[in-house]
Amino acid sequence: MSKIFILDTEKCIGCSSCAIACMDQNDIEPYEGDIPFRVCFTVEQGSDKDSPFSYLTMACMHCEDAPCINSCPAGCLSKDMDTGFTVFDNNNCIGCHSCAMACPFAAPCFDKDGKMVKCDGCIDRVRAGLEPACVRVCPYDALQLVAKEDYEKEQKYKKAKILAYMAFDK
Amino acid sequence: MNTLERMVKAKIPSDETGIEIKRTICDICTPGPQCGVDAYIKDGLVIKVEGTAGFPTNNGALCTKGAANRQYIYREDRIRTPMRRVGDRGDGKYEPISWDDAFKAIAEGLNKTKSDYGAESVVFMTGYPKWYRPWLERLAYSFGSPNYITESSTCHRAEVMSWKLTYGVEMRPDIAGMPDLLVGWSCNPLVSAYPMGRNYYKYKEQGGKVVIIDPRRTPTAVQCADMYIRPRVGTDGYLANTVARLIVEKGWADMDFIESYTHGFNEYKDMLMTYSVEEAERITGVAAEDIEELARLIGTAKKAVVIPSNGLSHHSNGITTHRAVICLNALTGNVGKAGTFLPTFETFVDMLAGFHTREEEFRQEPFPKDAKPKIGSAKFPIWSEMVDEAQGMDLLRHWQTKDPYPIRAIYAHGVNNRMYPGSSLLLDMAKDMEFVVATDIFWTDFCKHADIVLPACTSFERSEVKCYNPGIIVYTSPTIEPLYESLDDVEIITRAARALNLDDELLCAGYDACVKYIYKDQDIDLDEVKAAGTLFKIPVDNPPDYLAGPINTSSGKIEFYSESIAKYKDSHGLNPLPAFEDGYDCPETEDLDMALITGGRITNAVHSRLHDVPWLRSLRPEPSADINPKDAEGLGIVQGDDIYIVTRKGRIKVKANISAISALGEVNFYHGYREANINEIIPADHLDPYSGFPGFKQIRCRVEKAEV
Repeated sequence: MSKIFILDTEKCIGCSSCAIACMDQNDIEPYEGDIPFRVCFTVEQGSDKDSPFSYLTMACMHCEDAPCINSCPAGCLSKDMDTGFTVFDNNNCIGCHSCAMACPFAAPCFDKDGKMVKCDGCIDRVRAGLEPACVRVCPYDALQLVAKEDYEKEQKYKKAKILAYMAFDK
Repeated sequence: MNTLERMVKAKIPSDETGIEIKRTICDICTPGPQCGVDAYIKDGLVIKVEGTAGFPTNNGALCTKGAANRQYIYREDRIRTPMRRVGDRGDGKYEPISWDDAFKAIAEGLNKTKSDYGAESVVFMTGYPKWYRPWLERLAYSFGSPNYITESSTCHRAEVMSWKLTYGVEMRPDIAGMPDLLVGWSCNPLVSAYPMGRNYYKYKEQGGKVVIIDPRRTPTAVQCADMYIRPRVGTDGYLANTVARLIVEKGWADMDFIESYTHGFNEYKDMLMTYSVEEAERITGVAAEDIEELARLIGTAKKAVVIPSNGLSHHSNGITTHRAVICLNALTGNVGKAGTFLPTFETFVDMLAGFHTREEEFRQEPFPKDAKPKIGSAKFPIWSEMVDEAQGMDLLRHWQTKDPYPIRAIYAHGVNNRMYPGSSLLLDMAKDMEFVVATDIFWTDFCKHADIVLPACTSFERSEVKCYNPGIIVYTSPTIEPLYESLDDVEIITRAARALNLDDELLCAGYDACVKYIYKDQDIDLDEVKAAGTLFKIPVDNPPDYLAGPINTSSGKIEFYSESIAKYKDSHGLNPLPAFEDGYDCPETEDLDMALITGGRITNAVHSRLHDVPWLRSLRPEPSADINPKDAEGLGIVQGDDIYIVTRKGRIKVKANISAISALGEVNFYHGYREANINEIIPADHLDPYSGFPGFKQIRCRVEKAEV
């Protein structure tokens, strides 16, 4: 069943536990030239106590129609049919960075040999019945992996609730 | 890669991959929120960590710090063997020695100091972690010294003091009991203790209303607050008393409750009447309508909890401010009922687990009866009476003046001088000692001033009994062998006790025998708990009916007017009422026109111990000060600029992080950095006269752009 990562921005505090769990899972050493697959940000505007302020965590979005796949001349990237994750086999990677240019989220990283690496959704963990490392660690369940179908149903229900409340108000 | 190779790379535990999960506890932060950890082990090495599912605090999750346990335990600067100093103190020249030789040297050094100057001239000190503290305290007393000092001299004990002074006992908010309103006064649990943060989220999901009051715009303020109030730093006492006045004036005070259960209301009320909204607006910077709204919310809620935090007590006006805040609960009768404040007590090593052990007996039994007064007794008598520890913030003065007796040796576990305001003074003191022993996991600056340095191991490499609320107990086993020649702290204390030839059979018998003594009254077989390696349940004591009394204060009631403080009204100039006092270290000048706040938690650090963990350091690579965008603009500073933070004690160079986390005129900076130690420029005598706590959070400063 196709799965998607969702982030509840009302719960995320940008603490980076997901980023650290990703480093632990994938043996990423930022001080030895590795680029982390997952990064957290604080985005703010203004100087007042109530001015806009939000927290985000970002890695590969596992786009349904992933532009990186078509941009790769060596065919390293593909969709996993089961999970819907954008996965890779970088054996044939020529380090051309076309995937990075095509990606709107700057997800592809390059290892010390110049080959593309990125978040693969912890696909081997998911296949073994475990959660992705970033999802498992999240202290506030802000980052989750859910079945796409369930998510869509949930969204429909939420929209229906809003409509219903509007009707009640009248 | 074939499937097996992929599984090994993905660290999937199974027989084929040879990866096994072993359970332990994260021991990086303070005991309360410590989490269960699944250590993924391959060939005797930790290759990954994960939170333990179903564990009482974390249920599978971990915080940023805990997630980095693998790099923490394998830090490059682990102390590897016992070491003896061969160079001058501070130059870091050491030679490896055997454990036997180390303990021989310790026995000789400490016993010689004892016979030359008296047992009290040896100070037993500790920083983090905390799990071995009862043993260290007992070691001090069995040795004959009353001087057991912990980092709690600057951390949480003042808060406990304030609760005990006012309510006779430490109180906890019953958030699960769903009060109508939760006021988190300088509380930032989403960052500082995430299991508590999860309770805030749960409370909100169930319809609870949250007010956060904090000079820093924290993630808790951003994500949890239905109303966020930002007072100027250190003015909380004025705000709380103004809110109290409005509650009294509007008739929202619970007069029946006050009549029955409190002491000194008339004096308190007279004091409140000197506070005004106009003056509050001027002093705190909070708009009048927000102050009035806050009073209305607290005053009219059926049940409200006004929750204070440690941060309030890290000021030179800390105890009075903290008391002003918690008095609001008694004023509105939000005490002793479900969904309000309930009494609590410590079970074992700071944990509130709902049942009593013999820990206090274990710690206190050998207290030397004819000992000279412990450090801080004359200067901070309330601390001295209420806390079973010497007040470490009087240590340096005591050492310098030899008043009332000389301090000549230090026996330390986990001590870091950067916890002390005027930090380098502690190193100067170490240099002057006849003998210094330092046990630590890592080579700290303090270790480099010791005569004997001993390697301790982490929680992954040892066993520990740990309890959680309600009545949950676990006894861990090592997940890996201790690294290098390290031993666990209690084993080191045990062997030191034996080498010192102390007349203390129990302490010399080691950890297992001691915990069995401490848990003697519980119907539980610790061997069985250890063998099972899982969580066990102990019956909890019936929660006492707080209001049925007797309340453990001098008057037997909740004290707006503290009789324990009144004893020192004249001798020490202390105020029995929670009046607002200025908390700065000096008057404002043109040179020092901003306020420095230190120690407010960031997600990737706990004190100094994680600054050298590469994963965590990579999240905020440079020591950075949060400065409001308008201040930055005025000073011509942009993101990432080098700046100086200047106080009357000196300056440090840091990077600018432009953010509305800081209010206009205020600078936030985290502590513990070797290359930018903020505590070095905090005056060592900027202390709360009630608790002895340093005013870490309110220092006059200025910010300058550093010339390139």
